[in-house]
Amino acid sequence: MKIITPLLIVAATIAAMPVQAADISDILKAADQYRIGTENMQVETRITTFAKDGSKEKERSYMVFSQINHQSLVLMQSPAEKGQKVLMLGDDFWMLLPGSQRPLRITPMQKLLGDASIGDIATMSWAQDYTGKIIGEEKCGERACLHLSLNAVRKSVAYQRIELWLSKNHHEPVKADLFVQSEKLAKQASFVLDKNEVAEMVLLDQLSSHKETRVRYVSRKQKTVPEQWLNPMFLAKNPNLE
Amino acid sequence: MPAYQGSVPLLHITTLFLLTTLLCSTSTRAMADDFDFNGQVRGLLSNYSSNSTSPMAYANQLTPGLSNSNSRLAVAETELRASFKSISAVATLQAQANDASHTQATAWLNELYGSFGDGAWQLSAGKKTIAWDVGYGFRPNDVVAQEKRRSLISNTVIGKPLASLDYFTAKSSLSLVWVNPVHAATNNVADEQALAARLYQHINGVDLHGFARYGQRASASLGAALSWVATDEMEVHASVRYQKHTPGLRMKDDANLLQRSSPWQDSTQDNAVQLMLGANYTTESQHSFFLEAWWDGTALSGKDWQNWNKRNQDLRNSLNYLPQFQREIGYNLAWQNQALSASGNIRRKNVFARWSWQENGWQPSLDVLWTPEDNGRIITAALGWQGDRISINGGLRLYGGPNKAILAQLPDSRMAYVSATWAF
Repeated sequence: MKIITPLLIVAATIAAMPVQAADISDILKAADQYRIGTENMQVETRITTFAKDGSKEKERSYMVFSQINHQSLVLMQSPAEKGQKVLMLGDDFWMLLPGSQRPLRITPMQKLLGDASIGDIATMSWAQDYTGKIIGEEKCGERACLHLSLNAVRKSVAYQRIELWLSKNHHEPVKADLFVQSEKLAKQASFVLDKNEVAEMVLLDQLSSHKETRVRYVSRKQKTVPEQWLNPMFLAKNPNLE
Repeated sequence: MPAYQGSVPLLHITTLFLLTTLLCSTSTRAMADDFDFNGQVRGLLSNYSSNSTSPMAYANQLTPGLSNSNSRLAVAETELRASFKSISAVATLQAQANDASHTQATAWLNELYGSFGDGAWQLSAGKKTIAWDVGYGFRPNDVVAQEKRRSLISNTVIGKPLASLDYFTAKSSLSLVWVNPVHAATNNVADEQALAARLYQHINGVDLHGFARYGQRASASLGAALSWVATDEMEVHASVRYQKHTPGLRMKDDANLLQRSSPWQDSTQDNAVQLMLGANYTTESQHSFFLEAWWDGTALSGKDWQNWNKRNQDLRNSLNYLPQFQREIGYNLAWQNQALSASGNIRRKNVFARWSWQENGWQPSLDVLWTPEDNGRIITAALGWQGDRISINGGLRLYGGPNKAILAQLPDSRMAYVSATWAF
């Protein structure tokens, strides 16, 4: 009986593991639905950065084409950045500047540049990029939440670990702690919902500037881009896509 | 070359900027539908300190008026970008004033071209910039147009007249370019008629490029380049080019000390190789470190520069025994300056290192270009700030090294600038 008890526990644990992995994937897919909808999307975002005293510092607009297989194209649309583009194909990234007419290979670290990094707006699918476990049920203010601990399945995503809180009932995102590769807490995120969609993500920088950045999702629609749009040389040749 | 670049009366400066303001004010309406319009206005102050030990400074002492003595320059310029359906254009309007109170207004077209096709195939024609190579400090395979590298003050490149045909797939492309199609034969490689091709392939995370060019005077050249993100922090790149014939300036073999015309003459070098290796490392705290080293076989050789230094010294010494030829010695020293533009790089061996950091909209940077053959160096410090629409930039560049180093004998010893840019 002394031998049988530990074996039962191990067996029960092994039996439970795939179920939990499947659960996590389903839960993240449900959470993603609140953020991006389907796999091939065109999302217009507006990012506003506020100084420590709450005054508005700057505003930036981006058009994000999020496609299947970890492919994203970000078009900068604000006057100060007009013409800049970032292409992300899995673990490979390019930046295009309007003056230089050639794509620059950039590293995952360079992708983190800025108050709201390109990774914040272009890496949209938790289900594709992360796996993890349910830590347990916790209170998020008045709401009952599931606390998930997620680890990146690819090295090149902006955050290697995410502590994520989803509502227990419908799995809509509530808040997240975002950790970079060195295990430092980089940003804290909270999510504002409107009509079953995340309307805004509020980011609080924890590494250096301690600024608040609001990422507002202005519009979303389904869009599959031509395959040439995901070729950096095509983007260099064609500065005006739309 | 600019489509139009010449002096216009001072009153026209006002007209140019009224035109700019008008275009800016109509931009909101114009952005509707297929028409896109944007641009920037920049004000810039720069200061140049001449190098009192350069051959040019000696030449100017012996023959006053040989070089431009203006040391301060104020520039106001507007860059306008517009596109309508398949047509794109970039134009620049510029007004300058120097410390001699001379003003000048110019305007030029950086680009004007049309692109047509179904996505996979594209045909383009017009005046356009094409930049193919992968490096920062040196790009031997920018074979359509060589832009100025490592400039202290950045400017939008001026395109070349060309026609191109491109084929794109998801991970590859093939480009064929006919550059300067209506130009007659010229000694200037940048303006010669040429055919160029680039094949691009993205394989296993590596960008691979192959290049070929055939020019009227420069004949054939072949090149290859790659760019690879090796780790989360580091990108490495390399570029190599072989040129069968390379036009450039070389000193006449039988040059007597005093010449009646410049002894630096058009020449052709055979079988030249250019090679560049580089890496970029960025930390989590956004410190970036950049290192590039390159060999430029088209630049003057170590022997050429030894002869250049010796000729400078001989010309200066000749004043002692040929004082009646002071003016001629001045001209001969001034012609020595032509060697500095004999090719894209002054020395064959070059090492470039740069540090920059980005924090809260601020970006300080420090870089050095070192020529190990003579320990010459160019040190540049810069600071930039990016706000919502306004950016402010300033920088200081110092040229130096031992007395015999070529970079220590350039006409300028120091440059400084500050600029403010407003984007609309």
